[in-house]
Amino acid sequence: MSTSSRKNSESAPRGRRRSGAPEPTVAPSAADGLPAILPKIAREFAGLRKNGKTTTTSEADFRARADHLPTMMWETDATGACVYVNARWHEFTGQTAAEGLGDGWLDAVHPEDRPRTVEIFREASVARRGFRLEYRLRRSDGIFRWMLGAGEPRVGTKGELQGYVGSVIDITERRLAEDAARENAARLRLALSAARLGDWSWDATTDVVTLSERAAEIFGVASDQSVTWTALRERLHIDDRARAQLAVERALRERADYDVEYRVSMGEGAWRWVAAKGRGRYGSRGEVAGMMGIVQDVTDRRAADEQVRASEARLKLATSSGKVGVWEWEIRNDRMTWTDSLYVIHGVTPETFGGRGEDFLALIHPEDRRPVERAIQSSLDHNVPYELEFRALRPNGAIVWLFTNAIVMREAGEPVRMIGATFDITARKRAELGLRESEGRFRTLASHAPVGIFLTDVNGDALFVNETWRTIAGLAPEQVRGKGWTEALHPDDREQVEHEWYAAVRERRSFDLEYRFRRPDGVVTWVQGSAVEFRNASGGLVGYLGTIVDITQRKSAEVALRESEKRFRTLASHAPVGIFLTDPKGETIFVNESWCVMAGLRPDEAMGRGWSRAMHPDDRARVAAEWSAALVQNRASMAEYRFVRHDGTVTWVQGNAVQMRDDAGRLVGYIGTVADLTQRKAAEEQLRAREAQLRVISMNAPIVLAHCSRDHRYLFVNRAYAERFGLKPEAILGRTLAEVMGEEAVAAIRPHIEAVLAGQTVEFEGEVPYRDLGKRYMRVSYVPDFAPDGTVRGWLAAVTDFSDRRRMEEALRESEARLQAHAEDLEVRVAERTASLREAIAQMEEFSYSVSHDLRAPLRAMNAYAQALVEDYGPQLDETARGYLERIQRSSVRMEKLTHDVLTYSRVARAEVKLADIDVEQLVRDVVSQYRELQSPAADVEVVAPLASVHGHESSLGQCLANLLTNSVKFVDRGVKPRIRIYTEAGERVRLWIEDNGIGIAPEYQARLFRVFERVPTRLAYEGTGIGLAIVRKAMEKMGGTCGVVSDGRNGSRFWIELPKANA
Amino acid sequence: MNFDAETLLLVEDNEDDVFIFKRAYRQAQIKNPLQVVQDGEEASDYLFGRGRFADRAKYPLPGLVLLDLKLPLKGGLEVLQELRERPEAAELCVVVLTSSAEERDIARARGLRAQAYLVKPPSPAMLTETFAAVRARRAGAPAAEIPRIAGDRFEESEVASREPSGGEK
Repeated sequence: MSTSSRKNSESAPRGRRRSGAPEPTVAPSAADGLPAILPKIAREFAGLRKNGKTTTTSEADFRARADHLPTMMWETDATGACVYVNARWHEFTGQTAAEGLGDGWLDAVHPEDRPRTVEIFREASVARRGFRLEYRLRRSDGIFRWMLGAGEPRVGTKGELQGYVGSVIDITERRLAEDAARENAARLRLALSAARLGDWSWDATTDVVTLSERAAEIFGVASDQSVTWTALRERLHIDDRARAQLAVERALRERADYDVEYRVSMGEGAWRWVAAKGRGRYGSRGEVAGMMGIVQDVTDRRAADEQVRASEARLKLATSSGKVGVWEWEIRNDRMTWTDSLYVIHGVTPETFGGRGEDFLALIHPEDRRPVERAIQSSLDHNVPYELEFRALRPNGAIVWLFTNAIVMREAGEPVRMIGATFDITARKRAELGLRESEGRFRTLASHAPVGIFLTDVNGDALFVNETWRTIAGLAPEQVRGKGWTEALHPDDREQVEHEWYAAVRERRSFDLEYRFRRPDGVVTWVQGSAVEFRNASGGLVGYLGTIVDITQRKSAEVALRESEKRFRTLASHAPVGIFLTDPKGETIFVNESWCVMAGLRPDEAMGRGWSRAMHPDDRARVAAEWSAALVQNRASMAEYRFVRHDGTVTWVQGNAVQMRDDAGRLVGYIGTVADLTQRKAAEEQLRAREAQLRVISMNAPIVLAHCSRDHRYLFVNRAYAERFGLKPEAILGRTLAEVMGEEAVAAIRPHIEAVLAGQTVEFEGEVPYRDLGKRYMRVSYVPDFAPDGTVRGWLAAVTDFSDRRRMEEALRESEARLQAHAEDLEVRVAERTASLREAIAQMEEFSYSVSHDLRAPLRAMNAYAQALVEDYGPQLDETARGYLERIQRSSVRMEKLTHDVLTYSRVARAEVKLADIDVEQLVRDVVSQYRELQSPAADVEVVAPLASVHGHESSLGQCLANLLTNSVKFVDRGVKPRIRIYTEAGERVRLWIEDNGIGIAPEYQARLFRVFERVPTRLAYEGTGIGLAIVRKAMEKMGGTCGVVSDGRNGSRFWIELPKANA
Repeated sequence: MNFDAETLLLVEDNEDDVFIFKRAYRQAQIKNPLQVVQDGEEASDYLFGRGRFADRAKYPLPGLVLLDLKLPLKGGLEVLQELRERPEAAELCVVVLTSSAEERDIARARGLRAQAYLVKPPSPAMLTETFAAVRARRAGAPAAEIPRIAGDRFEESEVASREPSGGEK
């Protein structure tokens, strides 16, 4: 058995190779739904596979088809055991055909993902549902790649589960981008948390405000509840609400920054001061979509003792377990820094470990060195996550299994550092390997079992057959000897086989024939028999060594091929990926159901060029270009693009296509798959948007932010940070703190950096002597940046420069003092002014007092002497002289009246009126009684009792009434007896009406009527000073009342005055 | 004592006003003897019988004082104040006769128990009315409120029709 029992592949097959095995000519009809190209492919591959003896014709046919798909495909039976994986799987995982079957495929799945993968598959099987999941799959180069797997159940006509078919596509790049985005998002969130900033976003349509945890905390609301801005605003201090709302509206209107501080109720009368900043978000048409921004608790600064204790404990736990080591590799100077635990894991000491990359490689098991090197290289070159299992060789010869992962720090795109964690997984690995070994042994046995082995002498007579041979032949060992073995041959084949065999022996040819055995119990077995010469050590021919392989299954080719067709159809129609076939011109000749669902087209619509209608117009050119490029480069094409359904829904897909060529190398068409990426794409876009949002926020946050590595290098700084130094953020990244701020500054903050690198959250205030900025007064928060393994790989800093504020505060104090002085000065001046004003008023009063006394005296005298002249000397004077005297008298009277009225007006204007309830009816009667012209027979004055009482100043109101009433009786046409009607309308205010039958006032004059010295032109000359109604108006004003007139200018006037009603 | 026989003291610095008063006094046919002083100091001296007014026979204590308020040297209200502070003059009948109906003056005059407040120029009718009131009071009628002022305007004449303050159309 140690010598070759296989036939040389180059030796030409002979004999009745195809005896009893008809040419597989199953050509699917159009009714089968598969194009004619498939059987052609199938045949070609079947032909190829035939040489590989391990598979039957039908299996080969099926595989030829499925292997042509550019996507990894698999198939299970009803029990969930994998019965088939296609060539892509083999290519990708490096597993052999056999290794992937059963649950062998699981070996390629990342250990951490195995339980989940199995569980999801199991759950889906129970429910007979399709499933999708993401997991890591080991590529043939040992690197784990992220995969999107999908499976669909195959259900038979009776509803029984026949198995699953599924597909697997590589989504690593996507995952990496996503991880990077997530890490960025996490880092930025950390940055925000370092600054103790909460972030929020507001949706204009729903009014819903989405709060980060911190923001919710700041607002004192539950972070898992959605809250509207309207509701949130209710929590603001009543004095701040309008201001906050106005700030929002202004920011949205002017597209400016939103920046406001307000108080938020913490309940029980407690308030928190919150600074909110934000920026509007706008839709494609420029409409307001919402806002996003940050909030900061500016009320006080909370001690972080609790957090410090917790993070210290966390750190201690992580490093003391001894199973985790953390390392850092400075790529430029090739220095590795290890934690003590990592030295223990590798069985070396800091003294014996050189500390360079090659020293580390030397500690790796020789067989694993290359994979490790490759993984590091692709991590550095392609940003593939460095994550793998490998064996380390301790100096004492012990082998340990390790799992390590790391991130690459870059500066300007160049890797500068790797920071990683290494886990000792030896125990787990041992258990795993033990399992795999036994499985391997079992599989070896199983695969060898169906091979029958026989040994003959130089004449071709049997000497020995093994158990398997005997089982196939159904003979006992003793019956086999000599030519006895031929008894086991199928009667139909016996003669031919005997002939062929002994002829081959005679002519010393190789033997290779397919034929049948028939056991006594009637079981017929098709075998492929072959034999080679068997020579002893000296080279002498001693006989022939041969094998028979059970090929029964392959021989029932017709049935099997039909079965194969069915399976492929099932695969094609059930596959969770869309499958399409085109002719060489790229015109579609077949699409499966999944394709139709994704594209939203019926199969007939997709034929020819029809498929392109489903593709998003924006993607067509790009995909076409990729397709052409792939054709030219003779490779598979791959592109992500969108399908747009009739109803407008968009599906993101990953499409793969390969060319199919015939033996002559001619292009016969394309076969391709499309996988639905919509959910993933949506999640990705959401994440990207989130990351972009956070980036914008932290980059533009008004607070100064930085992210530094353990070795004091800047990993991130926001704009505010860079601007302090007059630099752009890019100019700072990668540099050390000392380079940017100067040694002296670093020395000043070193204790705080040491504290944060020890895992503490640090807050401090103090003066920092910057090299370029001079001494600045800073308030700083540091938060440690923990690596996944719990070690501190850097820290985040949030910095507030108080220097300016301090100066401003001082300036403010100074200006406040100045303002205070100014205010005091003003007060003095106001007092002075008031005093001089009072003096002026007093002088005014003195003046009018003098006027009333002294100016009137000469008038009185003029009038009196004129009167005396008339009385005493009248008879001696002629008419003219008496006329002159009358004119003197009339002028003096008029002068007297003017003086009097002006004085009255000024008195009313100056008077401090004390308001009280007034019995209007009594007052009206008093006034009427004082004026003869208001009494009968001079006039009819009707008082419509009762008149409502008012709140006013009695003597002022008396003056008003006297003026209005005498006014009314005066302006009547000649010969008309004045009639006046007085009544009130009472409400909260009382309106008193004085209705007369006078000449009326034209509407155009009514507005001027109550002004000083205004007189309305009249047909007749009426005596008057033009002050009476001005006095009324002024007096009413003083009492908080109003006055007016209603008249059409012909039929009398209705004057009114209005005052508050009496209190009592 | 017969009020009509009692002296009237007119305190008035303006000669024209003295003339106007005297004319009205005459036209109202008031018989009481009339003494005139021209400033506040003189008024005090007269009333308290000081200086050249020491001779009560020549300058008898008046039964009614007609007091202008705006006076040289000492204001009318000051004089009234002094009077009211002296027991012998506390009940002296005083009528204010002045140019203007300033509220503050009226209020003070009322506070100092002036019998009436007349606004110049005095008309015969005003005087008749005022004297009737003083007589009634002297006859033991209850002390009335200070009479309302009959309007601070000139007495009507044939040429100037009486008008209220203002009036415009």
